[in-house]
Amino acid sequence: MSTNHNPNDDTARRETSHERQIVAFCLGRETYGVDIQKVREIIPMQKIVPVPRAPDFVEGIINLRGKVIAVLDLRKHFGFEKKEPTPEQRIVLTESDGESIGVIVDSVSSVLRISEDSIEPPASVIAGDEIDYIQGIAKVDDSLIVLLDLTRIISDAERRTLKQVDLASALAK
Amino acid sequence: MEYTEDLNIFLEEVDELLTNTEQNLVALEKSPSEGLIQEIFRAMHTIKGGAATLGFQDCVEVTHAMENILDEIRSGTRELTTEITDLLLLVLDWLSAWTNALETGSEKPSAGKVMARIQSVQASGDGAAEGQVKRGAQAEPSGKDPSVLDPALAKQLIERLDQGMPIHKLSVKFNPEADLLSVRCFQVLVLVGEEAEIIGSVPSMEDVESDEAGAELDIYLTSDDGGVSAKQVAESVQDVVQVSLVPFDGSGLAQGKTQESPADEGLGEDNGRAGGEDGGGGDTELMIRKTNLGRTVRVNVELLDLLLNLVGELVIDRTRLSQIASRMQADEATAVVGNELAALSARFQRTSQELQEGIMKARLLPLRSILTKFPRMIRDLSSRCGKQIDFEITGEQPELDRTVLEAIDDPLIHILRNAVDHGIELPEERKAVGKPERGKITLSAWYQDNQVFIQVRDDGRGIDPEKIKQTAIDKGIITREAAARLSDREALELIFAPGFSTAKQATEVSGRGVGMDVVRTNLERINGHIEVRSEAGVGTAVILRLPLTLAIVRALLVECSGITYAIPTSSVEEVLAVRPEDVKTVKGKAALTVRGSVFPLVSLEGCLKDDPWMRNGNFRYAVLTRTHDEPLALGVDGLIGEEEIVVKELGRILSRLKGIGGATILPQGDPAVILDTTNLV
Repeated sequence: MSTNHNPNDDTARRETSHERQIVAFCLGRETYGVDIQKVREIIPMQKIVPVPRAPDFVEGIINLRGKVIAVLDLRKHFGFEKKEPTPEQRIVLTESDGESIGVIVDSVSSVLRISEDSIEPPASVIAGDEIDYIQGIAKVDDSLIVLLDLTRIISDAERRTLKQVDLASALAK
Repeated sequence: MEYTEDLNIFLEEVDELLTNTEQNLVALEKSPSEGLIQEIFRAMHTIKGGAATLGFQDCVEVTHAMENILDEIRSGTRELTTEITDLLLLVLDWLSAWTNALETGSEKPSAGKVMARIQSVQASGDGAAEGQVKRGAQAEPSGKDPSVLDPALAKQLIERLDQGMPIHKLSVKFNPEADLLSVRCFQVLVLVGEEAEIIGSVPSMEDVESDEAGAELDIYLTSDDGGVSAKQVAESVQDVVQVSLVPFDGSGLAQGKTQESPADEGLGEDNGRAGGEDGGGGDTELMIRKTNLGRTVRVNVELLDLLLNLVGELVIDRTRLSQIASRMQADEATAVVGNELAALSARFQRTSQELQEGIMKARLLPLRSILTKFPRMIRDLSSRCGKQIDFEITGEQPELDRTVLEAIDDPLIHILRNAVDHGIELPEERKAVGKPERGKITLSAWYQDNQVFIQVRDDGRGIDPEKIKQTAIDKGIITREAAARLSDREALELIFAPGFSTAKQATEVSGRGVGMDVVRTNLERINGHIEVRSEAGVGTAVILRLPLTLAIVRALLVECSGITYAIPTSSVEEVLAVRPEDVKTVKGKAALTVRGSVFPLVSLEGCLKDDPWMRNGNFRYAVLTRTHDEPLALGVDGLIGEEEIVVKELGRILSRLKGIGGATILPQGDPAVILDTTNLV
């Protein structure tokens, strides 16, 4: 059954995913995009309460309709400079393994349809260590949009937290 | 009563089965079907099984007799007549009256009338004799039907009961596959005869001697210890799979008498009572079983969780509401409305409180529900590693929130495995140090200070702190220098370090890669706490401290550098205003003396930045608490008050932070971190 199905599936996917919808946002001077399927909500900046002993790329927690949600600072995650809060800042909420997590972005520019053809695989020179969560680079009107895999970023963050926590507790002992 | 829970489950099951059977019977009358007969048979069988476990002899007899008739119908040796359908309905009514009586604690209806009817039907059926034979060969492997009492025995039993002699019924089940069942029966009878006076048995000694024994043996006995020692010896016999001991009150004797003479007038009294219950016992009289919908309802856990979350929100709202009310009361312009709102808020408070408690209760399950598998597990594990271990579960049977139970299941398995594998020594080893060859593991549980404690204690070799240190050094968990500085108690804490496992090599029993660090993490996730105490050569005790209920706690809200934190009041001993002159220094470090006890005074802010002495005593308030067993005064800038807070999870990224127990939403809507002070420093 599966052998019969696979080719059909492939053509089907090619047809429907000929175009991709992404949410584009700014971080510093660069534009990034994430698959709209992965974005649950975009909310204005709100009070973020810091969590002691949290890894530094975790900005803190927010209350989203009674749920406590961790918010990551993508700037810190990418090693960009810290920026003073601006009214344009947004929190992009995504879901990873059934858990909501927010990421702070400088501003959300738009929802774009980009054709699959305009997406190029990330050149390992540009991406470096981050190649894991960069899905590709899209050319839209002479500008470049870096397509991110938020789920990857979050699982990467989790891994880093675990390492950090284990290290800390090992040191404490 | 200890088996209340089992009884409730049984009653619930019977109720469901009765309803189904009634429907099946009605359907069966319209169109006979083998499937329906089969289902009714199974229902009777299930009820019989449950009743037997709980020792309801009368119910066992009725359902057993019915099962026999149904079996005959099933196997085609008896026809399904209206008479039988009526009888089945009569039995259903009796069962229904019987369960109702159990439930309400009123007097149970006598089985006499029903049994008499069953027997008259049995006798009237043409295929009855043939059926008996078939049944003997098929359904019941036993040579004699143990539930049918020999009239002579019944008479003897009645005489003894009339003399006020306590009689116990010891039911022994053998593995039906086993060879030489008669020999096993004989063995049991002889051994039991040494411990108690046997009044009679089914099958009798004569039957057993003439090789007419089956896989079941019922012994009616009387003894000073209520048959306990008899039960023990019976359990020791080979091929015995189950032994149950129940007081025998003669309730099943009607049958024995009936057999003797179906129309025996001696039954008159019983008949009258049963007649009262079943409305005269008329042959085809319409019976309407009382519908009972009130007992229990199955609820999806997700729904319970949703309700709990909603109630959590209500709790937050009610705090908010009372705050608004007091603000309005304080302002002259709004005072009148404010008073009204305050009254309403007070009522809302009461109602929501009760709602909250109700939902919390709905989530509670007895601890026993996860303990039942352990005796078997210990038995298997110990025999696998050649150890002799007695396992005992003692103490109260606390009820815990289901989330807590789920979270402690694996840790308990792990702790018990450790006790078997690392704790208890091999018999020779134990003998050599003058200990009894059989090791002992005890699991006890009790309520204390609004918490549940579970302790697993073994009388094994104990944990050697030096060995622990060495392992930790070998695994790179700690440096040799650091290890040298550790006290014995601190060394024990090392077993909770990630990557620590004392097993020299991974064995089948423990060391499957899950360590005590995982155990601790699991417990901490549910606001639990784990502690290990051990004495070399004497044994080890692992103590779990668990919250009774989860999700809602009372907490003290404190302020520190503009950020609000919640500290569960269960870990707050006292709150003090700190005047500079109260702060003493001990070896250069700040400390408070409260009623003679010295509390090191550290800054909360500093603690959270892993620099506890950061501000060295410059605070307005101090929260007295304990980290593990050490007193600690946490310096804070402000006290906001005490609130009931809903504990929310922090999510995977933040869940393992030391000293952070979770998060909550404050009445104003801001999130706040809940501190776990025992783990803060």
